[in-house]
Amino acid sequence: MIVHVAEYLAWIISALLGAWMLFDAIKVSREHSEEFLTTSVEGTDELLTSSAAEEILDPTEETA
Amino acid sequence: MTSVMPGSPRPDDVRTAAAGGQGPTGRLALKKVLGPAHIWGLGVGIVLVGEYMGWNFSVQKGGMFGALIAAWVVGVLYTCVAMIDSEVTSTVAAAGGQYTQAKHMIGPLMAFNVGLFLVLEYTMLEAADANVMSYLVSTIATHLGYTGSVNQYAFIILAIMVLAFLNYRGVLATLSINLVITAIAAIAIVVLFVSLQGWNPDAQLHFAGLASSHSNALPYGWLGVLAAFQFGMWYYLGIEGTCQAAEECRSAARSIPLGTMTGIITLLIAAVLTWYVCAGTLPWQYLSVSITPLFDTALVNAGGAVATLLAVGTVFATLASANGCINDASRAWFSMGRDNYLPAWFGAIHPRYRTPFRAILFLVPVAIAFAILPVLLNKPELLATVITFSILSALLMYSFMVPNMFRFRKLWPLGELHRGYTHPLHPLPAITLGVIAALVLFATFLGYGTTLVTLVIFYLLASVWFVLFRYRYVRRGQQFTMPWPRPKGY
Repeated sequence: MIVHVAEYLAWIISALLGAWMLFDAIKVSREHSEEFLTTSVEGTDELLTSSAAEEILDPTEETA
Repeated sequence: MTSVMPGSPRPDDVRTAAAGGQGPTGRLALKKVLGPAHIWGLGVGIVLVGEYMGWNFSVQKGGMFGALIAAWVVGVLYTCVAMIDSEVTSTVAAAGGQYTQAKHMIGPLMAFNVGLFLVLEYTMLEAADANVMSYLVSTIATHLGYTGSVNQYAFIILAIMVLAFLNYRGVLATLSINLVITAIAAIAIVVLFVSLQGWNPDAQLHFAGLASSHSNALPYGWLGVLAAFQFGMWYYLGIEGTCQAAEECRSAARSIPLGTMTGIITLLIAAVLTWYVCAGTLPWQYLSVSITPLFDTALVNAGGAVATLLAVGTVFATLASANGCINDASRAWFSMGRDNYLPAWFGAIHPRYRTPFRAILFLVPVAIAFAILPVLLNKPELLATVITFSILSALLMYSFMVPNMFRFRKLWPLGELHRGYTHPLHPLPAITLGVIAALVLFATFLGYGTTLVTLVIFYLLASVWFVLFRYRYVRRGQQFTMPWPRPKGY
């Protein structure tokens, strides 16, 4: 009996989670432009203190 | 002044990405919230299930000592993988891991293939984990006195949906949970060792038969040892997945090497402890076919609370593995979409949760399909084929890492590019990795030749598709957005 209840619960929880994710993904895609959602670039971190990165962040270069 | 690679980001873009979110330019980025402990949880979490089940099939091939030699030799392979990945990824703070390395070091076709190796490796492993999860639910139900059959589909799909949901909602919670359940599963192995007084081999363990009988220790000689390498992979398969989280680390240069190296150390210890307690408890004929060898060892020799802890450890290790695999497969798929190696639609980030939500969702039905296949066709042996797809994809990727490492040191020699970690004795680790990977590929070919050939044909066809229909969309300059110095010779 408990196993049957667990099986039904498993189906219900799976359906709810799947539906929520699909709904949310569609909602986000409608609310935001494709350009915005796909704007990410490869990450950066404290390696930006390297000489090459300092040059990229050089304010004089930024205004040039 | 140092010149910067073409296609490098504009300064405001770099600052936005470094801040880890949506900045003044409106550029989205994955959330930078992970530390070394999360990386350890990700890497060890994917792998530890292999200690709880799977490694013992190497006993079937090579006997007790064959399995131990496989643990050592394949352990060397993965130590090399961890060292190389720690160095290269400590400079590449980008999702995609080895795919991104291939993109920077070799070229688009190699990168496309490595990306596919990664996605297949982790998705197949996730499918196998979900399948095993449903088996564990059946076993627990039987132990509790249930005599009917459990609907495996319900629990396979539940496991994948719950973990996909976690991954969808954010990386910090996902990998924090992975860290906790992985730590519990790892501690359970140590508790078993302590409860069996492992430091005193004469107390509860029995090695006499193992040492005195050749047929018990090495039943098939050295060829058996070679064949055992294929299943020796289970002790460590997936530790390289730590690289996929580089873009989400607060400091990739610190977290990736720390998390990966402590991860491989944990796994080396766990592998030997696992072999030791199982080999000292179970006869090799039983151990070689056991589905849950650690749990069986606890049941036979320790019992009570320790057996319960090992049962919990088995479930947690399986869940942690599937969870980490969803994380890694989606990052690889997302990175390929971001660089136009796949439709750019997959390169989207959720503006609220900052996860690659479309990549996560897209891979859910793929994982479910492969997980339910053995149940649907009533062929449990298909599970081994699914896992072999994962192992072979990983092996092909390790083969790529050898030329990749040589090229990395050539293009950006020490001192030219800041590294969070520099591995010692180059080129010895790369050469060792190449030799052992070739040996394991040969061993796998002995057991699963048809699967290997099928997989190679699949990757060849995928490469043809990429060259004919996808390559034209790859913007070679724009995909390099990290502030690296110009490579030597360019």
